[in-house]
Amino acid sequence: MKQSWIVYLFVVCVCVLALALIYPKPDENVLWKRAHIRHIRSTNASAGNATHSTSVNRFPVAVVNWERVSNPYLISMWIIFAGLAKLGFHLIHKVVRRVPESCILICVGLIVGGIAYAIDPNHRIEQLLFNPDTFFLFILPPIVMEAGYFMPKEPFFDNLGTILTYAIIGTIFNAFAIGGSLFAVSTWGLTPGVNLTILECLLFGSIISAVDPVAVISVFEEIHVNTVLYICVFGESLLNDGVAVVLFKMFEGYIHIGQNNIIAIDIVAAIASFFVVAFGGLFIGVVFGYLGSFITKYTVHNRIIEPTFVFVLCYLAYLSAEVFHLSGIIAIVFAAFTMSAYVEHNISSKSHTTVKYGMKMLANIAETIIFMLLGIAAVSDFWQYWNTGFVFWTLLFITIYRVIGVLSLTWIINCIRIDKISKVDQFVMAYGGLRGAIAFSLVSLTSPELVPPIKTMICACIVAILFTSFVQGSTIRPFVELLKVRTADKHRKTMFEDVNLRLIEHLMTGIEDVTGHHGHHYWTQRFLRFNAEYLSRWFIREPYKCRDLEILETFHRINKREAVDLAAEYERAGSSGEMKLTGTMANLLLPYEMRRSYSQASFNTMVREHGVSDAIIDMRALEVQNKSKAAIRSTEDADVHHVLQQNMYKPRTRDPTRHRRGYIDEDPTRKRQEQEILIRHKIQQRRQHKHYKHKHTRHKPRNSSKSPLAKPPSNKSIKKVNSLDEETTKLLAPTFVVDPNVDESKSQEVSHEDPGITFTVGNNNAGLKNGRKLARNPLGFMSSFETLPEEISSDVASEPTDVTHVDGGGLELPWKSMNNNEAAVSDPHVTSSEQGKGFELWPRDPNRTPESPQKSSEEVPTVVVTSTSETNTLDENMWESIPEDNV
Amino acid sequence: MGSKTSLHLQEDEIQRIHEETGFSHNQIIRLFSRFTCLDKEQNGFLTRDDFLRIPELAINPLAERIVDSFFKNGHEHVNFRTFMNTLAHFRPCNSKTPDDAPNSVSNKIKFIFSIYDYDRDNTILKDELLQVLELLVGANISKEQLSHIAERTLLECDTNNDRQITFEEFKNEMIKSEIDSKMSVRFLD
Repeated sequence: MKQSWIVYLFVVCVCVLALALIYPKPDENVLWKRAHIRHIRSTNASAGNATHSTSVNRFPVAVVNWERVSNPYLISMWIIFAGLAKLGFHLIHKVVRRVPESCILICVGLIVGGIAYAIDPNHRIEQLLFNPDTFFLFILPPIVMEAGYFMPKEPFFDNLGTILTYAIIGTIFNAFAIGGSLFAVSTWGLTPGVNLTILECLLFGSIISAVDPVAVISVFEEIHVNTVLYICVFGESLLNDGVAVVLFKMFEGYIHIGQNNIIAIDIVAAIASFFVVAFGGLFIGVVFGYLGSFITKYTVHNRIIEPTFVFVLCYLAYLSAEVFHLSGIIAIVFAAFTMSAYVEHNISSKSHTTVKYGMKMLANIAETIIFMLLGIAAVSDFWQYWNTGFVFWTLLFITIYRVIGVLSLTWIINCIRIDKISKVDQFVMAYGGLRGAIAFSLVSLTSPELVPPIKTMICACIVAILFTSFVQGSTIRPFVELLKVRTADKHRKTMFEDVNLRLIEHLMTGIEDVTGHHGHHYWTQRFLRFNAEYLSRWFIREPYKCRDLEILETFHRINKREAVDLAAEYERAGSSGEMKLTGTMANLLLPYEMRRSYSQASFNTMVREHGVSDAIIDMRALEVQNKSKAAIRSTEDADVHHVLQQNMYKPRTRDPTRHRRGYIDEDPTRKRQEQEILIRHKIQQRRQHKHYKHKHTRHKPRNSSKSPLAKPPSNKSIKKVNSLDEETTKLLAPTFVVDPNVDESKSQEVSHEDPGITFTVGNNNAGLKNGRKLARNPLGFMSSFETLPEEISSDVASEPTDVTHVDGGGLELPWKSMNNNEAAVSDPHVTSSEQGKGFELWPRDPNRTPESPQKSSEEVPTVVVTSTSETNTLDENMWESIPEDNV
Repeated sequence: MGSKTSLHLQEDEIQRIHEETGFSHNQIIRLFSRFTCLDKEQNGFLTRDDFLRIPELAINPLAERIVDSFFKNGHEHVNFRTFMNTLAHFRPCNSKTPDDAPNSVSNKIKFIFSIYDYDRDNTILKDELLQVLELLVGANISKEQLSHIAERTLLECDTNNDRQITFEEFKNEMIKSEIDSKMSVRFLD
């Protein structure tokens, strides 16, 4: 631990230094264009040389052309080092939990900026990375795009009125109140050194009033407040941009016109322009969103380019809006928001994963850069324009008016809302009004000729940003804990709840119809119906199944989850070495329904019938799970998913892309082959267990000298088999899932023939959503509850005979005589990295191994569970990479 | 229209309904005008057909059940008082709402329970659950799958393993979701 600390600190230091050193200097301040021109010029020059000069330039062996690549090169290096620094301080972040990530990033930025400033004091803010153009064109869009794409839809629409009230009225109120108050204190002479006109004050007020989405997202993502609170703050910060930009443009325009020349028409025009900007942005966003949905409807044969459409169309929406001076942020948010509703159903699961990952990645790196640059920007020469009075009043007013705005608006909203916003929530909402980089960029966009005291304003703006980020940002979590803010609901959704929510939805709509008052439920249902009847038909490839299947999806998800819990329980029980699961085994394995009246066979049939094609679990989505959802999802869930991922087979034929493109022959022989590969693999593993166990009891295992990570997973599991021979035949029998023996054995003892359990994971839920009947996986029975008959069996001791049985069993398998290590290497199903992970996840007590034979000798019907060997993740790719000659 | 229809409604009647249901004076008058509007034959009560004539309600998958909930104890008519008593379940409530008020959480849950409980025997059986599920989802899910879902739902709720959901079990499960805000409609003043 100590060592890693030092390493991390070292990395951070190096990164900080590097960042400072390669920070672009003022003379190289233009982006690609400059480099391009330079390149052309140099080629022209060399061409000129070649023609005009008499001396011939010999062909060079190697040339250095740094100039040509310098700018993109520096930018790339900067991004890399920013990423590395983020990695490095992550450990510090773990230690200093209370401080939000954004603060640490700003601090890093301050240090970097300080060093850069010390090296070259002339460096200015109008520089390569952080000029407002770069910020607005490249850094900001990914963040808001991600926010829009992952915005939870239901809460957003449920609270739309509230959000809009805060975003529009709240921001306007704040802008005018702050501007007016600043003007008042300045005319009273309370801000010595600056003379402000009313328009300048209002301009500054409009800049500083808007809550910043980037800052808010980064802070609220870390504190898991309840959904309503989260969506209100989040939605407000996203949508108030329209208002802020309009106000900013308006006051800028007024300053141009001159205070005395403003007539009524200007004011009317400004109000009209607000609607144009906001709704124009919304319109463009929605149009591009639907365009993207429509295009992806026809990408069946070109899956690879699907993510491109999503990303580029969102970005195009942003740019298109900016072309017409509409709100780009609103446009891109709604483009992504609209797309997320439809695109998911159209694109393949892999593309979907890519989209989600890509969004996260871009947003994350952009966020890192923004905060670091904010820190860097704070170290500059405009501190000489510091004006204590102005800064003080600014801070005071933004705090006061935020509180007043939230309280008064909430009071009005609460009259209408059914579930009132509590006092505590209001406090958090007011307290979470963080300012950020957008304000800073806007303020640095303003030219000093137009607004003379702009430097003072920049100064105040930076102070406001730093103050809100550091003071409010880092204390909000203690406040949330102290005030016992209702945090995100952590309990998992049950089937019962899901069914009931649907019922209530319809019920409320019905009641609204009876009372004749068309309220929220009415419009929701209306929209859903419209969506199902028209929109889905146009924008989703196979629309008819979507809504109905949601309930089925929930059902599968719940089943899957229960299975995971089971696995976890097994793991716990397994590691403790006390295997007293005998009585409950049946219950555990048959989590519902079957506990009662159904036989195992019918369970298997059921699983087979609809499990394979419909079993859905969104595994990968976990890693890319969105920030907004992360707020309501527990970390425990993530752990479980992780365990699950280790546990699951990934049947390769579930890959719809390749399947459809015909890359994989779906001929039955191949399936059969694959089936055999797995079965043989299992048999072989089993035999290795035997080998290992026998050796282990007598002398040390061969690989005991190796590091624990190098151990193959089979070492970690213990297995008892009563009659391997019998099982082998069973395994190779064509239908070994529904085993006739099961019923017999059941009559003797519940757990006698209890099948093991393995969980399989689908790529994603796209299969279901597309309504496509996916091909069976190679084993033909994998699903949420997949039974592999050989894994658990009651142990009646008599191993030695078994081993001889099998060894002489006439099964000539190529890897028959391999030891464990070799097997692990040659085994197509197990990669070394997974072994490592598997080991970390379930550290097995090596002492357990010799313990088991004792137990078995006592003839207690104990069930020994094995997990690791069977449950190693089979990646689809691994399936594909199985050489044919293995079979 | 409001003034004309309110003529039929006596002041003491409004007062009584207000005491029973908690609706405000204006709300009662407004809902009464709605009531008379639904009552096409002008006979002072509503029949099933009156309800099902509401076009939006007619396409509601739960229309039958919702209408049923207005007709208590096998009556074929709903007078204004019963109408209001049923609607009162959907008034918003807060922590101060007394437990016996129609809009208390407990009574809201009871209302949902009665929608499931078709035969009014105070237990929900799997069949009843299945019926509601069939109403809720379209034809895209097979009967068998629905049956599994129903079984599953039953099991989650059925704590004493008797294969039926009693009201207590139902309530214990429902109380976890924020039923108070979800089962509330805003009635205009």
